[in-house]
Amino acid sequence: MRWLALTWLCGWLLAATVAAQDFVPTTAALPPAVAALEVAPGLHFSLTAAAVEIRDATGVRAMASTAPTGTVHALTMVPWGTVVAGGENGVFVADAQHPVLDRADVHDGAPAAGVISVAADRQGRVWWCTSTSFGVLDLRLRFGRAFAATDGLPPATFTRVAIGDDGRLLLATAAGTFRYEPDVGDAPRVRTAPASQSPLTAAANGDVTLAIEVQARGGATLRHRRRHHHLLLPIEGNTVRGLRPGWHVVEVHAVDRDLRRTIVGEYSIEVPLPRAFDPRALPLAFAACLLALFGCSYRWGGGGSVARRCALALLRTGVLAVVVLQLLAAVLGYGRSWPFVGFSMYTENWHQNDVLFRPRIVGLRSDGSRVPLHEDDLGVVQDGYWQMLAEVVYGAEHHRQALFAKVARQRRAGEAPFVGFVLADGRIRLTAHGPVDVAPTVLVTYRAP
Amino acid sequence: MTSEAPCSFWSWLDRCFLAPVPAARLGALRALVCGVALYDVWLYAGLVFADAKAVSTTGAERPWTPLFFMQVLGLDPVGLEVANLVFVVGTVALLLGLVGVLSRWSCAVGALAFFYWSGLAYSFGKPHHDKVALAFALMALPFANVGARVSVDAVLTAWWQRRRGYHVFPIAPVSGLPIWITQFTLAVGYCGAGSAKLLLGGVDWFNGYTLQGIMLGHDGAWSRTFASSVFWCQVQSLGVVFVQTAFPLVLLWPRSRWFFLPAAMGFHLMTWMTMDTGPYMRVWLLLFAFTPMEQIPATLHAGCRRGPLPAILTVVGVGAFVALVVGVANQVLPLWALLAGLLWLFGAWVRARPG
Repeated sequence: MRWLALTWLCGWLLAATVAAQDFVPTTAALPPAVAALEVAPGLHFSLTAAAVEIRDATGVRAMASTAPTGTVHALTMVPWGTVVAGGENGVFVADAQHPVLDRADVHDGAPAAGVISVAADRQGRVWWCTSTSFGVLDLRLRFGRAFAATDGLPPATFTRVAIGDDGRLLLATAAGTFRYEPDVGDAPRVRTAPASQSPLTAAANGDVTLAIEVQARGGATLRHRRRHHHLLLPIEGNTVRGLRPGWHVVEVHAVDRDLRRTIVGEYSIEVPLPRAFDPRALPLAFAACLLALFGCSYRWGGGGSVARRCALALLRTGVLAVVVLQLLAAVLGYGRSWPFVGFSMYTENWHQNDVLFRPRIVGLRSDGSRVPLHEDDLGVVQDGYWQMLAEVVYGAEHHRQALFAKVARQRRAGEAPFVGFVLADGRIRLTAHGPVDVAPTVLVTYRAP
Repeated sequence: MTSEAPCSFWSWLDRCFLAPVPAARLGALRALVCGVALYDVWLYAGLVFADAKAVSTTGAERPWTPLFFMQVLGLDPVGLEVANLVFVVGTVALLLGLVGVLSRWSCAVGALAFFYWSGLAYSFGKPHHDKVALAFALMALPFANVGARVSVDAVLTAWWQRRRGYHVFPIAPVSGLPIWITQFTLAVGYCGAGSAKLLLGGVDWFNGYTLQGIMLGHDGAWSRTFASSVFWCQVQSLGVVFVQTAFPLVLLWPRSRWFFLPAAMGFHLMTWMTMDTGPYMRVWLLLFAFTPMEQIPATLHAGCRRGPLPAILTVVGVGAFVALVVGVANQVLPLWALLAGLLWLFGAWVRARPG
């Protein structure tokens, strides 16, 4: 009996040790490398010795690119049809509607060069390796994460990544192949958070520090999103930076090393006005200036009744105040002081190779056809494009249902009904030869239940 | 008007902003400004009511970032009841201001409603430039005798004086404060926009990619056409910034209005087609503040009598302009109201017919 218990204990310890290892040596064979992808019926992107070719009914031709790709080493396709190419100069994307390689829109955590292998999993994450580094990126989130030695990463040199038949990741190295199972254990969760969710007040510069600690596989990185905005911005040192004066609802997202994402906090944050615009002091100072102006503009000892002279002085004071404030606002440029406004709009400079972003909504019909829809027709534009659309990406299911209802109303008599939509961040690359539409960042693919 | 030295600062200010204008010109501006403000109040109604509905039911959905004047006055988001009240009061006051009933009072109430309405819309969103001049014009209206002509007030006053057997004197010029403030605001607006591009964007702003980026970022109907060439975008950049920066010349050299007014209007129509600014009608209609509006009927009559070609050009030009305004306004205002306005304009034109 004692031997039996000891054997069970050893077995349990061995199993626990193996489970705790993130990268486990394996003898599993890697699936063959992707040589060609069918991105649409009759349309193939294929990898030749150094570049990508397009094959369709008209023949074979080299795929253009908006920037030098260097040697392209690998291709993969995420479930919604975006093709990712890894090569000498980093990660590039293309799709069936935009067959031109363009640098992927990933802000951090992606390799800048030397990519030798890429593999997309069922969730749409793209696993990548260079000869010395390994990581994962998510085009929808616009960021990725490189694994470190503390993540149990086997020693370089890496030669390939692939998704095995069982969905696990296979990493080939000079020392052999390793298996890695993403998404093991709990998703990121809060370890400690403030007891009260009462509104926070930011510093005058718009910075606010959050007392939150998160537990996640491989350690959490925190991002924040302002309600009605669609970008997840990094939080450094638990501090959200640069919020503008006013009230904001800020979501805090925790992301683990496999890019699993959890909303771990939602805060109401008040950002006070800069001291120069203190709503108590400034009106007083303004009133004092008006009084002084009134005194100066009054015709002391002039003709006419006191009432008439007062009226004229008031008029002069008002006119001068309006004129001076308009000029002051033009220089200071504080938009919230409307109707006294600044003029900093459209002063940002664009350059060659910059990318323009714009939401694209494509209706999916029951016959398989896709119809581009305009935001104005759908009534989803207020002051900006994402104000109404951001919640479709990050908000509750009813936001997607509401957008689908608007899409469904676009059906015309005799046409197949809509069964879903794709919401993407469209991208236009400015090149010397003119603007080029490149593969959008697909954010939501919705199909009505 | 004053006993101050004619070269003093205050006399100069009086000459710039309180100089008299024909009462008919000011009356026409009153009608125009109130009409445009009415269009604006209705244009923003959907947005304000949606926010007010959310406040009344589930709580505000959009972030409340109040305008400074809303913050100073302690004005908070409103529910549906208050929004309805402001909308009705604003609409009635601006309608009365348009036709000139209790002109100064209706303009004052209309201005207050307009500011509150805009404050609600902008505090839940982003302030825009397209009704800055309108706001100042409306704000200035009650401070001048805006009902002396082109108003029901004027008709009633003349009728009452005739009935009493008084001699009806021709109406003297009145202080043109609203006109001068509107002109100044428009000039600052254009010049500020152009100068900011020069000062903040620098020479690099004219690289062609910047204008290309601005146009394609909005994807208007003509964006692709006008943004396809970097070289042509450079040329357009120069043209845009020149018109904007040099616009204040219209104040110093009135003849330059023949160039700058059509250029500014053309600029707005182009941005309508190449960006998502919308028609920007609240700005380009106010460009009439630079014209002697009381002379428009006589000028049109003269154009019609000069021969068949000038007559055709006049009718086609006016017709196209009116169709444009009605077409834009009809997106928010009911057609019957616009037709009534047109009828009123036609009546004024016939009434002003010489001989």
